[in-house]
Amino acid sequence: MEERAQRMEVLPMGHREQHTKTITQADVANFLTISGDLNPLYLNQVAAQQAGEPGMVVPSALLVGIVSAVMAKMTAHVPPPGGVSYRYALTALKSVLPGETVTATLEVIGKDVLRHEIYFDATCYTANGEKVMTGQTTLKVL
Amino acid sequence: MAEALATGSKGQFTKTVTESDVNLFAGITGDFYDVHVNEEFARKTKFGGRIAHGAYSVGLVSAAVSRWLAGTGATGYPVSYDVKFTGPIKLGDTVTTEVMAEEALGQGRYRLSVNCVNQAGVKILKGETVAQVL
Repeated sequence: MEERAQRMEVLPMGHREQHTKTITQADVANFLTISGDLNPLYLNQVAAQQAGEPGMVVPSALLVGIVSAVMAKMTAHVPPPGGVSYRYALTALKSVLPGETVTATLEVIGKDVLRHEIYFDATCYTANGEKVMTGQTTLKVL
Repeated sequence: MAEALATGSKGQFTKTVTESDVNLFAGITGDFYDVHVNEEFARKTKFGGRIAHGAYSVGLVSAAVSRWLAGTGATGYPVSYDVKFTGPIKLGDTVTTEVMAEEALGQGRYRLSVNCVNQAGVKILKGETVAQVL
């Protein structure tokens, strides 16, 4: 078997990983700083409430980052040189507010040995079990 | 209320991606995978050194969508991403992200195409995003 295909075997079908994080206001502020995002719904309490949100919301891109942390846990199983995220197809279902605790989970649902790709179902939940993001991701084994 | 944001309207954002951006992203999200934070590991990959997280470039896409919304006078945010990471962002690279409204989906939702290129014109991300106007 090709060496890269062999390294893909460390992540069998059905393998799951998760990452849980309380998303703080500081996380949001730092995220907006590093990404250059000036959206008032993320940084202006009054504007967010006027738009019908309970308050400033967490950027959906930050939730993608929490999914990324689970991709890191998956990729850490793959022997060097490891792998990289190749595709994220993720949809936010509901606003998340700073202070909420989010758990992102990934499960291996498929592989393409010729493309060196592993496919995952992705889901993010809040602490009360509400699904806030869902979709699929792809890892490319290097 | 922006009933019909013009298809073909664009949002753009250019940013030089620094080491501190990547390190902060790792801390904010908890993604400390080696290729992003371990220079010795990263040097032995095909990238030859540390690269930004793919999900970091999703943040740049969000920033470009926010600029598109601000430019049209609308309030909203991206709610969906379908993006492929076609090239690496190396520390110090300058990334230009462009989003363009392709289609009104109804109920304030718009589908936008997304492209990111580095300073050499190499494509580093392509795909789509859906923005919700409130």
